[in-house]
This record gives sequence, C-alpha cells and structure tokens, in this order.
Amino acid sequence: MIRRWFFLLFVVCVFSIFLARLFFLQIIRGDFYYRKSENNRIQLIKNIAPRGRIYDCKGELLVDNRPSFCAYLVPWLARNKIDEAVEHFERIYKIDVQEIKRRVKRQRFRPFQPIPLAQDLPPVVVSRILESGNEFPGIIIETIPSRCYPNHSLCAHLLGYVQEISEKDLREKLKDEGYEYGDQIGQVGIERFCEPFLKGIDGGTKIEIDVRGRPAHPPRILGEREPIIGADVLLTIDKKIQEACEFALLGKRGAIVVTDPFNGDILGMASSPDFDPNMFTHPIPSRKWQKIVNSPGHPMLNRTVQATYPPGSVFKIVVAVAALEEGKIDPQEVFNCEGVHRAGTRVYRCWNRTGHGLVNFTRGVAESCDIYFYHLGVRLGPEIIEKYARLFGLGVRSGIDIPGERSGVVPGPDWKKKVKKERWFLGDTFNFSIGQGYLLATPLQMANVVNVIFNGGKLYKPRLIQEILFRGADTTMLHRGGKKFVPQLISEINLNPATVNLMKMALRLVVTKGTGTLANILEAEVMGKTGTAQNPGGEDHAWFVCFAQPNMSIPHAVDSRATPVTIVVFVENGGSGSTVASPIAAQVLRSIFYGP
Amino acid sequence: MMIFDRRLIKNFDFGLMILCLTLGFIGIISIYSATHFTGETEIYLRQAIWLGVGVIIMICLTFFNYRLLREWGWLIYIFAIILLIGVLVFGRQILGAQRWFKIGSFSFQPSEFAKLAFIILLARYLSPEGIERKMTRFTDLFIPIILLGIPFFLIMRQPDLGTAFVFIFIFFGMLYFAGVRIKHLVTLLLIGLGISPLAWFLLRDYQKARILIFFEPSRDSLSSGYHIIQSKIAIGSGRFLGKGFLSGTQTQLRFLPKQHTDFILSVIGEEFGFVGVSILFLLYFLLIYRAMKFASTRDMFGRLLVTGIICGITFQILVNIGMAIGFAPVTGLPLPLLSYGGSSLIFTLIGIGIILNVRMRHFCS
Repeated sequence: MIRRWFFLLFVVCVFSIFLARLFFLQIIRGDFYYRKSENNRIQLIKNIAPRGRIYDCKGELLVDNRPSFCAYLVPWLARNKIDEAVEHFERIYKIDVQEIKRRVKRQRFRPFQPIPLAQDLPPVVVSRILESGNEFPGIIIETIPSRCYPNHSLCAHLLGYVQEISEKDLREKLKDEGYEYGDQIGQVGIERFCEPFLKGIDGGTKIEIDVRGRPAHPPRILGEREPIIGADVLLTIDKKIQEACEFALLGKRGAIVVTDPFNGDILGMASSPDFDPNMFTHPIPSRKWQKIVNSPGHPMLNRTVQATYPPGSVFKIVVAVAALEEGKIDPQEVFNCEGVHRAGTRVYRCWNRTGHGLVNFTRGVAESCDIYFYHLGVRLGPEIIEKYARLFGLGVRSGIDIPGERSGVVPGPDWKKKVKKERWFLGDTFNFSIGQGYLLATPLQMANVVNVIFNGGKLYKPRLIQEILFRGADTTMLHRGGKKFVPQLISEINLNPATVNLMKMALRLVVTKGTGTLANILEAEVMGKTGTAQNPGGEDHAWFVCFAQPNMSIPHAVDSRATPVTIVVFVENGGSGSTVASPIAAQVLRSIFYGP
Repeated sequence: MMIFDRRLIKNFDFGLMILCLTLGFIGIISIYSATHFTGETEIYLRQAIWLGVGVIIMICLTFFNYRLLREWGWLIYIFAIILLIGVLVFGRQILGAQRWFKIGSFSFQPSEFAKLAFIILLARYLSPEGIERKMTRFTDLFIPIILLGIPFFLIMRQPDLGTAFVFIFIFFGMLYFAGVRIKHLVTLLLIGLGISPLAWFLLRDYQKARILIFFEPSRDSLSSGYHIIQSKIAIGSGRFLGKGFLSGTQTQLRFLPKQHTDFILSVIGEEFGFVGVSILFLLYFLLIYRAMKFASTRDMFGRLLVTGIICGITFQILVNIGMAIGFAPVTGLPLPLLSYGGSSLIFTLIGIGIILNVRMRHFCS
C-alpha cells in the first residue's frame, strides 16, 4: 500500500527536521547554550572587600569602614510578586520604584542575580523586613562594609568621599578596570587620588544553585576567593593640628595650611566651611546635592588648593628676597613714605595714608610699607619679580596628591601681552610688587614661599601621603605599587645666607613690632608676614603667613610639637591681615606648641 | 479461542517488544536522573513497576483474538464516553485540568482509554463485515465525524488540548489509511481549520497563554515561557556527547520544570547530547516502521487498528519532541514509553499489545 510509504516518508521528514534543529541547538549553538546553562547554575556571591583605612601621621584613624545593611531583590524568589514586593518596600523605605522595575526587566533572563534596592538601611527597617518576610517576597538583607568618617567633617576636603559609581563613569572607562554596577568609588581628595590602592579586591564564592536560587543539594562550591582589603593610607596630617585649624576657622570662610618647612609635609589643611563626607556614602537626592554645592559658602570647595586669591602684602616676602639677592637694595637705604607715591600723573598710595616716614628694609617689611616696595619693584622690574615668584613655586601646581589643584597666576610683561593682549604698565609693576593686580596664588603655594626661605632655599612638593600599606596577605598585590612616599624636592634656590638672616630678622620684627603683633605668642618664636589683599569680590582678604619654632626657654607639654612649622592663614573677605588673620595663627600655634 | 498453535508463537514479534522494553528502560534511566536529587527516589521505581505491569498486560492482550474487540466496539466506546463524562463531574483537578480518576495511588486518565475505544470503533465502522467500506462520497464522513466529535468535545472541556489533537490526528490518519480520497480529507481539514477560531473560546486562559508564549517565549520568562527557554538551554548545552549521566546541570539543579514527565527529552538531550537524541530518534523510527509493517494484514479491521494506534503514538512523539526543542507549543503531551506516568505508559503498551495481536493472527481470516 502506497499510503503507508507516504506516512513513513512523512515521519522521516519530520524526524529529519527535528534532527536539523537539534544539530542547530546542540552543535552550532551548543557552546552558547552551554554557557547559558553555566550561568544558570552558578551564582557568584560577591563578598565586597572593605576599602583601605586612612590614618594620620600618628596612627589616628581618619577614615574607617562599618557594616551597613543593604536590601536586595532576587526576582526568582519573588516570582510574580515582584511589583508587590517593591511597592511594599517603598512604603517603608524610599526607593526609585521605576528604576528597580527597569532593572528587573533588563535582567529577566538572570532571575537569580540580586538587584540592589537600598543601602545603609536603618535597623528599624531591617528588623521590620526580617520579621515579616512574607510581606516582602524575594527581598533579602545583606551586610556589606560601608565607608565611615568617624570624625565627620574633619579633613573632609582633603579626604574626599565615596559614592556609588555613576553609570556614565562605568560605561566610559571604569568597566575595564574591574568596576561593577553598585561599586563605591572615591570622588575627590585622597579617596579619589588613592582609589587604586584603597579599593580592595572583592572576593566571592561561586556556588551551584538550583532553580530557586538556593545552594544546590548537595552543596557544591565551585570556587572561592577571599576578599582582599584595600591598602591603608598613612597621611602626613596630624589630627590634633588639623582639629586646631578647623576649630580656628569655625564660622569663617577661609583656609589654613600647616606644613613642616624642612620636608614639605602637610600637617594640617583646613578649608571652611566644610561638609560631612558621610552624607555622600549613600545616594542622596540630586536636589539636596545641588543645595549643598550651591550654598553661598561653597562648602565643597577646598580653599587650600582649589581656589586662588591675590596674596597681597604676603607677596612682599618674595619681592624683598629678590631685591636682596639681586643686590638692588642696601638694607640700610631709606625711602621716605608720605602715604602717596606719584608716578607721572597717577598717584599710588600706601595702606597707611598718613605715611611711614623714613623706612629702611626691616621697617619696610615689618610695617609692610607699600611705598618702600614700589621703589623695590621699580628697581627690580617685573621680569625679575616674576622670576623669583616662580622660583618660590608660584604660578604652577605644587603637585600635592589631591586632584583639582589650581596653579594660580604669576603675571609679567609677556604674560600680559599674551593673555590680556595689552602692554605692561608701570602701575602693573607697582601692583605686582605689593602682591596685587593679576597675581593669584593658593594658600598652599604661599606656605611653600615661607618654607623656601626658612629651609635654605628648598622647594618641596607638598607631601600628604606618607605611606601606602598593604595589609592583604596576597603578595601579588605588590605590583600595584605599595610604597613609601619620600619628601620630593622640586627645585632649590641658592639663597645668600645674609639674605635669609635679614629676612628672618625682618619677619620676626613683623610679629614683635610690626603689623603681626597679634601673632606674637610666648610658646613659640614666630616670624611672619601679614597681608590684606584688595579684591574685586568685596571685603579684603586677610592673610597671615609665618614660620614658628617652639620657644625652648619655656616648658612644653611632652606631646607638643618640638620642631618648627609653617602656617598660612587665609580668611576670605575677612578684612585686615593683622587684626583678623594673625590672631587665628596665634590660636593655632598655641595648640601646636602648648604648655604643660 | 485460546488455542495456541505454533504459528501464533512464531508470529509473536519479539523485535517490537524489545524496542518497547528498550525505550521503557531509557525512560526509567532518564527519570532516575531527573529525580535523582529531588529526594523522590521512588518515582523511577514506580515507572519500572508500571513498565513490568504494562508488558504483562501487553502479552496478555495477545492471548485472545483481536477481532473480539470488533464485536465489543460499541460497548467499549460508550463505556469510554461515560468515563469522560464522569471525569468531568468527579475527577481530580490537577494543574487546572480535570483529567484524572484517582484509584488508590494510581491515577487513571480516561482520555487514554477513550483513545483506544475511538480507534476500535472507527476501525469497525470503516470495515463492515471484514470488507473495505468504499468511502467515495463526502457525506460518508458524517458518522466518523460524530464518533470523533463526542470524545473530542469532552476532552476539550477538561481541558486537554494536546490529547484532543491526538484524536484529530488519529481520525485523519485512519481515514487516510482507509482509503478515503485525499480531496475529501483536505476539504475536511480546511473546514476544520475554518471553524477552529471558535475553539479558541473553549480554551482556558492558561492554554491561551501557552499558545501565545510559544510564539514569543520571552513574554514571561519566569513561568510558562520559562519551560521552553530552559528546555532549549538544557538540550543545547548537551552539545555533541552530552554532559554525562547524572551530570546535566539543568536537570540536576531542577531548572527544568516537569523534567521527568513532559520534558524528559531535555534530560536526554542534556546528559547524552546529540548522539543520544539521535539514537532515541532511530529507536522511535524503528518502532513506527516495524509496527507499520504489520499493517499489511489482509483484514481491514486489523489494519485500521494498527494504523490508528501508530498514528496516536507517532503524533505524541512528534509533538512532544517538537515542544522540547521549541517547535511546538507546550501541550502537556507525554513522550510515549519514556515520560513518567502510569496511564500513558500502560495504554501505550496496550496499544502495542493490540498491534502484536493483529500481527500474530495476520494469517487467519
């Protein structure tokens, strides 16, 4: 019967089609499905590595980690109750429901992959979820290490903060460096600069799971890796000094930099107003963020390095050194200050309108006589002043290990032609010689200026990081460059010892008899210079820079500092350097060199 | 009646029986693997017992002359219809469908029995008094349509879409082998297709969902579409030689739903690969081919009986495999002789028994 053969032919045809399909599934696409089945069965339980800690120079903890509760949604566990679970959760803790739903959809073929819902849940919420689990199907709570700044705003600007990595950053570059969605990353300051060191290596356990996302039975661990804690960072900062600096700036806008003049170590670095980096560890609404960033004091701005100001009379130190070194002035030579200086048709005034009378070098510095420095400026010429300003490290970034440093401006005839498209006038020289006009510097740069004079002409790269310490046992991490940071000399000026001595004398005179008498304290011998910088932004900026060495003739507390420091005090729109900035310096110095 | 002459024994086809036993054994192995870690260790044992019972019934069915079925045709059919009505009224609801009678620990599916009853009565109708009924007019198809219609409607009510379609396939298959004109068959098929949209309204929501999901598996990867996706992953990941017995990760970790019943092919595909499935195909083809050879008996009734049973088994094989590899919707049809399930296994073996019976007596009449 022919019909039977047709039937068999039909069966053969269908089987052939099936075989072709199987060939496609198992041979052609076999590897693809094999990988899929592997993904199906393997779940990587991520074990987040804590970030390295940050310590001050004496081993005081500045940045730590603490356990924080995070909620995740496992779609498979929630099954068809995903929406219900998310909405229930939203009722007790605010989350972006739309974003979560988008993620659920995006990974619908990996229903075992947990989706982060919220970090750092308050214990109340955690216990609520744990107590009534069936109200929140598929929601699990895990404990992960979270960044913590135990001293709150202390060192905020230089430490920076951590934030969840943005999707843009992740897409553009960081994916190749092993970052994943939901990872925390340092944003500014040391947290950013030392990110490759601070970030540990996440560990994980690869386990076989069954369809419910539970470990298979019998359990099989396919691989395990311990998390490796990030490297610790030791700073040069002295927490005690830092506290003194920040306390002295309370309620003001300004900056204080305390350095060790003999190696460029930064002992204290305060900028005010500040912020609490703990705020940013977990996502905050952008409205709140905008409010912080745009608030009038600009708390996020690190005024020690990220802002430049006219240094005013503080710059006279540079002009004075230049004049002595270049032999343009005899220290005994006197100029008559009548409060005004006429050049052509224009009149340039001294800050002291009544005039200083006859002024020699030391008095010119001590009284900060503008007329005296106009004379020096004319004798030197702008090019020489510019040269010296640069020798002292102005106009270029100091190279401190904090991102976002500004370089400031050192003007000069060439600079003005190029940038302002204008000729250099005599008036520019006058302004330049008293630290006004186009000249701009960061408070940190001014600290360098003082250091160069007092350490015999050495310009150091400011050192903030002493050492990076790998505590992880894994030696393979060494290639990432665990290391000691030694003081780095940028350049050295051959200063005439006579010049240095004369400068020391003059700067001592500033404090004992001149404009900086409010910084004259018993505990230390202070040599400094005040500055009151006019600026287009309103009230004058108050400056005081000084070198101070402990007064060994009086008793000191055992743990008070025994070696000299350099301090730069800057108060934005604070007014007069002598009345506003120098007492702040005195306050900080007293807490550095305090008595028993 | 119970005369056992040497010819009967000589004509007992051991080949067919060995094929059945081989397939049944493969089924037990696969079920063992599929349920290995689930703790339901007795499942493969039960299947083994049913295989034994089924084979005994199969052999017993060869003791009497199959022509007796012809006499009892109407009675069997009516009894089957009563059972189908009964299951709708008293049956147990499993997975949203009323398909089962539960007798002790044994679940009995009347539609399996109805399938045989339908084949017997249709064969009887198409072969009056041992001669071929010449179906030359289209209107001759009226009675067969009624015979099909009653059980079909009752099974759709359960609802059991898959089994209902098995009836249709058997129906067309038997008419085809009875020599009905192809022209008439095509016309009937077209009419059926024409009114099939009406059947859509008979479907339950989950059945509609399954058909929709077949066309778009990612619609709902967590439930219905999940079956197809996971089955494809299981089979595909077996590659050429498979992951090895008890080593299929999809199977062992229960990513496959219904892996020991409807999706048993996925287990074989994953653990024994392309080679294993090809061998399985070959065995099935040999089964169909060998059984089809016995349809050469001169007795029209016997011939139609054999072809009807073959059509039923063939259709189930093709639909089940098609489902596992993503070609057909998830209909819930078991893979004959392999899938876990007493009713299916035993009635398949009963069918084979009838085929053997026909073969043994092909010399008489």
